[in-house]
Amino acid sequence: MKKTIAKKVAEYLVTLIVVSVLIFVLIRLSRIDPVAVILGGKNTSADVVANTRASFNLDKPLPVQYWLWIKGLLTGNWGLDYKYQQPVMSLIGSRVPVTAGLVVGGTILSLGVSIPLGVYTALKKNTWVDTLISTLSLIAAAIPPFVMSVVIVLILAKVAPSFPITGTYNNVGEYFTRIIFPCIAMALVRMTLTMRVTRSGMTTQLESNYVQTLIAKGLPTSKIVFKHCLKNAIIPVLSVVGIQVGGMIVGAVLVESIFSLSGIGSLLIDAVKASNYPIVQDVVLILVVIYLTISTIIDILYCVIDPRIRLGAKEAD
Amino acid sequence: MKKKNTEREGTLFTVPVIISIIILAVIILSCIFAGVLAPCDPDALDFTAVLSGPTKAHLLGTDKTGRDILSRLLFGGRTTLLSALGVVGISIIIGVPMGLFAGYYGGWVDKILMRITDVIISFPSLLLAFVFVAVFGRGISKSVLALGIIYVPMLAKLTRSLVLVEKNKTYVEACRSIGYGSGRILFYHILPNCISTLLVQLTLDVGSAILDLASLSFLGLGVQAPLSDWGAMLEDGRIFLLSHPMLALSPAFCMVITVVALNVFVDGVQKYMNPQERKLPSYKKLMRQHRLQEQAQNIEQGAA
Repeated sequence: MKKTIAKKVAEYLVTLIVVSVLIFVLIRLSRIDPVAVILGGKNTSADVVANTRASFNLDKPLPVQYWLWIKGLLTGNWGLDYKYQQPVMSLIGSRVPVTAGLVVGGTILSLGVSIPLGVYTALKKNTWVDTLISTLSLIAAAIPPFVMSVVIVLILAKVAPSFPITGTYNNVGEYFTRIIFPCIAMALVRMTLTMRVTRSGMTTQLESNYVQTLIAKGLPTSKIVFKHCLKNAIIPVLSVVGIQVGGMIVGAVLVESIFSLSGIGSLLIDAVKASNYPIVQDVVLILVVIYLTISTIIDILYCVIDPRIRLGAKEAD
Repeated sequence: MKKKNTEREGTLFTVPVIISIIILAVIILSCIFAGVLAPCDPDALDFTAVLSGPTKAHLLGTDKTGRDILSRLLFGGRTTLLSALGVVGISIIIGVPMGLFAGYYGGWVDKILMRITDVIISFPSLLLAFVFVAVFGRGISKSVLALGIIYVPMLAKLTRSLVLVEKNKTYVEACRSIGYGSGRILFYHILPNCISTLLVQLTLDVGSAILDLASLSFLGLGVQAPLSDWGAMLEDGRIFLLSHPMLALSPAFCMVITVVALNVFVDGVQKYMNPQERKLPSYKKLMRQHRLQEQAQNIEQGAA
C-alpha cells in the first residue's frame, strides 16, 4: 500500500508541474501585449514601455519568467496585476472566504442530502417514491447552477422580499446569510451524481447474499442498512466526491456573479475579460491545485478504506 | 428445448422515451425551421413595445429593446444546438482516432496520450475554457473550439477502454490472419463494435455541451452580440428578473427541457441495451406468447 501511495503522490507532483507549465505557455500564446494592458493603451514613450517591461520581468526569456513565477508563488511574492497594479496576493486573499464557503458549504450540503436520499431510494427500489426522486434528480442534473440560482432569487423575492441575499458582508451572520442560498443552488444541481452512485451501490449490497444471512440472524433493518451495507456502498461514492468538488469550484464562479458576491470566481471572470493575466494564471493554478489535492487525497483514502485494495496490496508487497 | 430469444424481447419505446423523442423532435425541427416559424425578425427593434408582456403580436413578450422573445428563442436555439454539435464534432474528430490508436497499439503512444489526458482532466471542467478564452479572446467559435478540445480526453479514454476489450476478441485475430491492415481492422471492424456505447456517451456530451456553452455565454465569454443563444438571453434577461421573469425564464426553460429530454432518451437507450433493466412485456403477454409457441410446436409435431 505504501508503494501505491508513493506512486500517487509522485503522479500528483508531476501533473502539478505539467499543469503549471501548460497554463504558463497558454497564457504566453496570447497575441495581446501585456504592456498594452498595463499601460491601459495610452500612448507612451519607448522608455516607459521598456521600463514597464523590465519591472514586470517581461524582458527575460520564458524559462526564467516561468521560474520567477513559480518561485514567487511559493515564497509569497505574487507580484502585481496588470490592470490595477496591486499585489495579486491581497486581491485574491480578500476574496477567498466567499468562494471557500461556497465550495465547502455546497459540498457538505449536497453530500448530506444526496447520500441519505440514495440510501432511501435504494430501500424503496421500484416504488413510486423511487421513481419520483430519480426523475427529479434527472431533471436537476440538467439545470445549470446559474439557472437554479435565478429560480431561487425569483422565489425568494416572492416569498421573503426583505431577505438580504446579495451584496457584501460585514460580520459572520451576514456572511452566512449571503452564502446559504448560493450553496443551496449549487448543492441542488450537483446532488444527482452522488445520489445515483449511492443508490446503485446500496441496491447491489442489499441484494447480496450476506444480507440474507443477516436477515436470517434476525438483525433489525436499520443495523443491516447502516452498519453493514452503507459501509460497503459508500466506497464508490468517495471516488465521485472529487468530481463533485471540481463541479463546485466551477459552479461557484457562475453563482457568484448572480448573487453579486465578490469571490475568486468573479475576480477570475473580470480578469479573463480584461486580459489581466497574472490574476488569470494565479487563480487558475490555485484552483487546479486545490482540486488536484482533494482528488489525490480521496484516491489515497480510497486505497486505505477499501480492504480489498489495502489487503491485496499488502500481499503483493 | 428451444432457447428463448431474449435479444428481441422488450422495447426501447417506453413512455418516457417516447415523450423525450417528441420533445427533442419539436425543439430540433423548430430550430431548423426558425426562419419560417419565427413571427418576427429576431434582431428587429420595436421601441413602441419595449418589455411588453405576452401580446398577440409577441406571444412571449419583448425584451428591453423590443425584440420578439419567441423569435429570439428559435434563432438562439439554432446557435445553441449548432455550437453544441460543433463541440461534440470536434471531440469526435480528435478523440475517437486518438482512443482507437492508443488502445490498439499500446506502448509509448498510449502512455503519452494518456498523460495528456490526465493533465486536461486535472482541470475542473470549465476552468480550462476560461484560460482558452482569456488567451484567444471571446466569441462563439473560440468557445466551441475550446470546449471541443476539453471534451476530447474523456472520449479518448472511453474509446480506448472499449478497444482494449475488443482487440482481444477472436474476430480481430481472424481479420489479422486474413491479412487485413491495422487501419482496416480498426475503422471497419473494431469501431463499429464500439459505436453503440460511444453514441450513448456522445448524446450525453451534447447535453453537457449545451450547458457549458450556456455557462460561457452567460458569463459573457461565449457568443457576442448581435448573435445570441439561450445562455446570453438568460444573462440579458437577468436584470429584469423581478419585473419581467419571462425574459430569463423562457431561455432557461428551453435549455433545461432540451437537456432533460436528451438525458431521459439516453437513459432509455442504456436500459434497453442492458437486458436486465430493459422494460419487458408484462408477464401475461409473455405467457401468452409462450403458450402460442408451444401450440405451434405441438401442431408441427402432430403434422410430422
